[in-house]
Order: sequence, then structure tokens, then C-alpha cells
Amino acid sequence: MSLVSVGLNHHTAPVELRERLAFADPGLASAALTKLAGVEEGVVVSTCNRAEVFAMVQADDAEGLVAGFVSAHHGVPKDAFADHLYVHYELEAARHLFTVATGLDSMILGETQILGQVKDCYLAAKERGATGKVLSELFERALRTGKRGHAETVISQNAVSVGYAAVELARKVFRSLEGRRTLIIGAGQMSELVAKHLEAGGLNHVVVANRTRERAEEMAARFGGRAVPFDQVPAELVQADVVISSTSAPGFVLTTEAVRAAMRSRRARPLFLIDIAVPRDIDPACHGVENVFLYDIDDLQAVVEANLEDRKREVGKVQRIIEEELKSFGTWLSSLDAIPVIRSLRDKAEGIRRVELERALARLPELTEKERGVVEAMSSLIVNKLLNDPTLKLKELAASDDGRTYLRAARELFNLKLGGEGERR
Amino acid sequence: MTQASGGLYVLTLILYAASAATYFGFLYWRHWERAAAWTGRLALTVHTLTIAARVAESGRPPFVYLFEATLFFTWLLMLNYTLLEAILGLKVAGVFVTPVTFILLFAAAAMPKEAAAFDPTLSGAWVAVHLSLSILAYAAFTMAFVLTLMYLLQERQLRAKAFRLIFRRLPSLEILDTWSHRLIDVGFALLTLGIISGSIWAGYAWGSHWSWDPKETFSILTWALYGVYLILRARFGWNGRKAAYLSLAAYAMVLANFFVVNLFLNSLHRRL
Repeated sequence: MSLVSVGLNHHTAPVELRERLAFADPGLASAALTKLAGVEEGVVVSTCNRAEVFAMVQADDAEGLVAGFVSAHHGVPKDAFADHLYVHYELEAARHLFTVATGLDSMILGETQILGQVKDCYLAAKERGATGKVLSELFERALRTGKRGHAETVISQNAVSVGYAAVELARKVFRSLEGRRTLIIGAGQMSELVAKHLEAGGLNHVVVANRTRERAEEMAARFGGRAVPFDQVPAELVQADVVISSTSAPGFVLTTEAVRAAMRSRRARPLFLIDIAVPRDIDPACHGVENVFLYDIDDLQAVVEANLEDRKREVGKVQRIIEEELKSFGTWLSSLDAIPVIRSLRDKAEGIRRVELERALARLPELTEKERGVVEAMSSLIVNKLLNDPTLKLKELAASDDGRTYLRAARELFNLKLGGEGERR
Repeated sequence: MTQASGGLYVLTLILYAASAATYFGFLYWRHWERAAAWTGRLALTVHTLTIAARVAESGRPPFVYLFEATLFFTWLLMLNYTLLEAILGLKVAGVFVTPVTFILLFAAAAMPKEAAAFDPTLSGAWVAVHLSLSILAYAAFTMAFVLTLMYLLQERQLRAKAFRLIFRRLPSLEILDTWSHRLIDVGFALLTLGIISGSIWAGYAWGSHWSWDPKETFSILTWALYGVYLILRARFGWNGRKAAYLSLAAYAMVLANFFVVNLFLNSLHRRL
């Protein structure tokens, strides 16, 4: 039996191919996979950036088996995607999954969505009975690794898009964005995008000012806000907490004087200005006014870049976590090899005990019920105490470098015949 | 100091040093947060025991001499911080509070611990009320000072658009501004009561309610500055950076009051 992962992702395959090989229902696909002869367990992980199959397979050509499944499932000839596949076995397969789960393999480094997607795919497979002992353990550990990566490093922290950078900065000024008023000047796509991020952060009461009234009303409707004529901007500025400006005006739409005037009426309530227009809409000197904070598109982009750099610096830390988890998974995986040996050792000992117990009791018919109990208990105790150390040691040694040698030695020494399950590898 | 309270005092110092170090680590490694908070709480517990041992040994309130007053003051400060942390999740304040606590406590070792002869006017209910209220007020002002520093640091980074490590850990300007204001509110009320109770006690002990002793002068100046701060906030909408600078000035007065007057000026409060 071997653990194998076969897949393709945004690094190895173009989007057209990824589209064709995306699994619409990963749970169902996982179940279908386990119906194949030689496949014991299977989990299909499918997102828009990747299609991956994890399986416990008993076959000489595990890769061919899985690739054949993918080909048949999607009705796409193997040749069409064979060059784009990567294949990992055993601990390498686990490392790959851990890397995916922590977001190190994602298009945006450290993104957290992938962890949820891995979890969903795993649970879907589990629900359909496609997972067994090994894949369950593998995925539980992958989820844990992902969570540790997020908790112990800043790989997934901090905004890596302009919209989130704006939210992040606004949160450094305001206690929360809940219930804050937003004034959007210029109903463009870009301002809508930023506003959406802010709205997701809790901001509401959206007011849109635009030269063409129609666009303003359309956009206001999308945010459940209201539209105002452009000349209302100074009055709205007194009410607003956050202003997003992105007009195509050649000059400044908001001058320092206008902002100062608004601040006088606001009694120093902080004002957060986002200028995403090029050329700029808001006089940069506004940033010098007390309690006014102005960030333009370059500032936000600089935040994003700095954050991405921070994430890159965290990669090493995340990899260390992955290695740690991988080591522990490796130990667990190898200890599995010991289980059939231990079981067969225990079966053999139990068999001997039974036979000898029967024989002894047959020769001692005068024993009372209590005495028989004592003799039986003693026989169990001897067997258990004798096997206790070899059981623990076998599990431990199976995880060492010479694990297989030790297991073979144990089998030879006790002349054990393994049952149907056989060795995992 | 006997061995019991002396040993506890040293242990407290060590624990605060450990907590301060862990808090600095927390700036780099987010998951150090819990370790930092728990070392801080452990330090506070031992700190409490130190004060209890001290009271048990001397049989009087734990703030009559400057050493004890510092011990008590830093204890209140940490207690204050621990509560704020629980309410606001202001973990990062620990980065400031624990080193301050450590330094003050360390400096306390050099401060007067006992007087040759115990002044009988330093006993009684009014002195206990006066001293505890004043120290409580100073603890509130110190916490407000810490939040103000955090505010200015945060504001500076937002202004400079240069976001350093600590930026991610600092809470919003609004929280820092609101809570430093609240703490000054509380501190001001406590100081008012502290001054009144001190004046009543002085009437009994020294025969005069007010004698323009340096300590009294500094206290009333401190009180006035914080009063101006509160009025400017309430009536003139001052907040943010301007208010922060003013509260820093007022806190400088607190420091002068606590250290300079106690250690260097000839004052009726000198022996404290």
C-alpha cells in the first residue's frame, strides 16, 4: 500500500486545462475513486487553481491508476494532461498537502481560503466513506498544520490587496468600521471595489457623489445608500468618516481648505481619506491636517508590497512548522507498519495461552470457580506483561531508519505469519 | 526588610524582567502573546504576596515609605493594565507597562525603606485614605500616559506612512484616545479626593490645611494641568495629538511630584 498524490495546479497547468479537470463534486469523485480495484482510500481536492488526488493505493503503477481515473472521470485523454502532472509518494505526498494547506503553494502567498477548501473536500470525502485511517490522519494533520501556520506566523496576516490595505489602515484610526459613514466621490469601478472591502469590514451609510447623477444612483442602490449632487460634497464631508475618491477630474476635487473647513465643523473627529484617482483628487497636503489621514493609490500599493514582503519572510517559519508536522506524521505512518506484526504476535500468544490454559484446567477438575479464575487471570497477566515491552518497542523502532529490519527480525524471531492485511508498503 | 518580603521582591523583579522580555518577543512572534500575559499575571501575583508580606511584617498600610509606595504604585499599575487587557484586549500595552514596572521596582531598591524613628503623625485613617487615593490617581495617570505614548507612536506611523513592526500590534487611535481620556477622568477624580483628604489630615497633624509645601504645590499644579486637559476636551473638542501632548506635560508633573520632590526637595512629605 502506498500513499500517493497526483495533481496539477496553477504552476504546472494553464487555466483551460484546470477548467477541464476541475471536479464539480469532490466528495462524489472521492467515492468513485475508492470503487476502483486497488484503491483503499481517496480524497479529491479541487479548487479553481488546482485539482489534486490523494489516495492509498495497492498497485505497481499508482500514478497510472490515478491518472486513468482522472482521465475517465472527465473524459479527457491522458495525453492531454500527463505532462502537467506532478506525482508524490509517501511523505512527499504529505509534504505537498501540508504546503498546499498552509497557502505556500497558492497564487497569493499565504492566502487562507485554501485551508477551508481542503477541509471541505476532505469532509465531503469522509462523508461518502472514501477516507480511511491514513487519509483521515493525513488530512487532520494537514488542517492542523495550516492552522498552526496562520497562528504562529504572519504568513496570512496583513492585506495583500489595495482594498484590504485601505480597510487595514482605517482600522488603525477607527475602533471599528461598524456604522461609519462613507462618502464616495466618483462612481468608478475602483472606488466600488474599495468600498466593497470596507463594507465587508462593517462600514455602512454610503453616500455617492458623481458628476452624472444616474451612475451615482446606480452605485448608491448597490450599497443601500443614497446619491447626492456633486456640489453637496463639502456638506457631506462634515458627516463622513471615510471618503473614497476616484474621479477622472484633472485637478483636485478636495482642497486643503475644504478639508480644514469640514474639520472645524467636525470638532476634530478623525477623517480617513482614500484617493485612488490618477491624477490625484485630493490635495496631498490634507494629510498634514490634524486628525485627517490621507492615503493615495501609491501608499496603498506600498502597503501591499511591504505586506507581501513580510509574507515572503515568513515562508521559512512555515516550512519549519511543516517539517515538524511531517516528522510527526512520518512517525505515525511508520508505526502503522508495526501494527500487523504486533497483532499477529498477540494473536499467537493468545492462541498459545488458550490452548495451554484448557489443557491445564482439564487436568485440574477439582478447582473451584474462584481458583479457575485465578489461574486464568495469571495466564493473561503473564502474556500481557511479557508482550508489553516488545509491543511498545516495535512501534518505536518501526519509526526508526531501520524500521523494516526490526519488523522483519520480530517476524523471524517469533515465526509470525501476517494475516490478510499485509504490509502497508 | 526581612528575608520573606526581600526574597519575594527579588522574585517579583525577575518575573517582571521575564514578562517584559516576552512582551518584546511578542512584537515579532504573535503566539508569544499568551506566554507574555501569563508571566505578567504570575509576576503580579508574586508582587501581591510581596506587599502582603511587607504589611504582615510592619503592621501598617503598605505605602508609607517611598519604597513601599513604589511597590504599591507599580502593583496598582499592573492591576490596572491586567484589567484593561481583559476588557480591551490591549495586549500590546504590556510592551510598555511591564518594562516601566520593572524599572520603577528596580529603582525602588535604592529608595528609603524605613525611617529611623516612625513619625506618629503618619498613622491613622486619614493618612491611609490620603496616600491610597493619591497613589491610585498616579497609577491611573501612568496608565493613561502609556496609552498616550501608544497613541503618539501610532499617529506618527500613520502620518509618516512608514509602518514598522509595532504598528500591527497597536490598537486604533480611537481606542487609545478614548481610554487615555477615561483614565485621566478617573485619575483626576481620585487626585481631587486625595488632595482634600490630605488637607483634612494636615489640619489634624500639622495644624494647617495648606502650607504650600513643594509637594502640595506640585500636586495642585498637576491637578490644574489635568483639569485644563479635561476642560479643553469637553468644551473645545480637543482630542488626538494636541490633547496627547498636553497629557504628556501633565504627566511630567506627576513624575516630578513623585520622584524629584520626594528625593531632592525639602518637604514635609520628604520622609515619605
